[in-house]
Amino acid sequence: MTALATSTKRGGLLAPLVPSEGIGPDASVVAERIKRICDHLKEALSLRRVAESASVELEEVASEAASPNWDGYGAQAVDPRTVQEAKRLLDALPTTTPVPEVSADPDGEVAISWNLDSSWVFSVSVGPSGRLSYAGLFGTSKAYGTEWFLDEIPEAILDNISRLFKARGTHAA
Amino acid sequence: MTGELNNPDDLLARFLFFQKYFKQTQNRATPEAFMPPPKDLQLSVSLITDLLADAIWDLGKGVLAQHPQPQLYGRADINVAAVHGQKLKAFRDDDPPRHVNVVGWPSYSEGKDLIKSMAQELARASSLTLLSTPLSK
Repeated sequence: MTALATSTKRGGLLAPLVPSEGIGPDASVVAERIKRICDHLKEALSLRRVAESASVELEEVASEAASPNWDGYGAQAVDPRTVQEAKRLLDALPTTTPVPEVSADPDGEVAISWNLDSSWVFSVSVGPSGRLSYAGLFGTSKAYGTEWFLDEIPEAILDNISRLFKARGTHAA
Repeated sequence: MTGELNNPDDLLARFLFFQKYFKQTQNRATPEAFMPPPKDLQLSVSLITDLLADAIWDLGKGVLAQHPQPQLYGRADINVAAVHGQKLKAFRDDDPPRHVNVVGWPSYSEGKDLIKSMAQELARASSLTLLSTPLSK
């Protein structure tokens, strides 16, 4: 007879996994599945925190750059419409996207950037009308251009983010 | 002596007043440090060729005194060759002494993407020097 692993000692799906008291192959399978579900939920929660941390950084940036000349060189203030567009962009990023850095540009736009090192960077600036100005260095190659943010993040932006992180694997190897 | 700097070996310092303008763990400046102001598209730097460290930081103190930020964290140095590499020019105006404007940028309305790309290239070409203790006003 095979005993099944149960989760009766679990305080919830995200509570620490209590080792199963069940024995036998079926119990091992069930225990492994429970572990996978927990790992998946933990990962989803972690990604949510990543998106939230970028949003928190956006609010800090908006606050720091809310007045003209915030950089001492005559920068324009970041206005609420730009913050709203930047938030919409952050929310539209695929959940698997690594957490970006958020900063204010001198023209009052918000830059969302991934800086791996000086030769592997990608940055997209969003303005109040949804204009997206992007630029990236990919080792010896580079790309830049302009897109518009309507309902979805333009493919060129997603492709370049993907290019950066795919290249990182190769680059780090 | 004011005017255009044509010696590719001349060294220019961009003083850094924001922590977002450098990455200490990677020992490099970020592209944000090299974005020009939209009002006149003149990136403000200082000529530091042949200056000793103390004299360079004295220049930085002078810039800090006129800046709204309370602390100077360090500087990112680029040579004039890197400026020319982006089809930009460097003009010394000595206001204040050794002050240089990097000019020739496209406008933010027409060429923001190119500005970002040029700033990324300047950051890549720069070398970072951080103060062990930031200078305060």
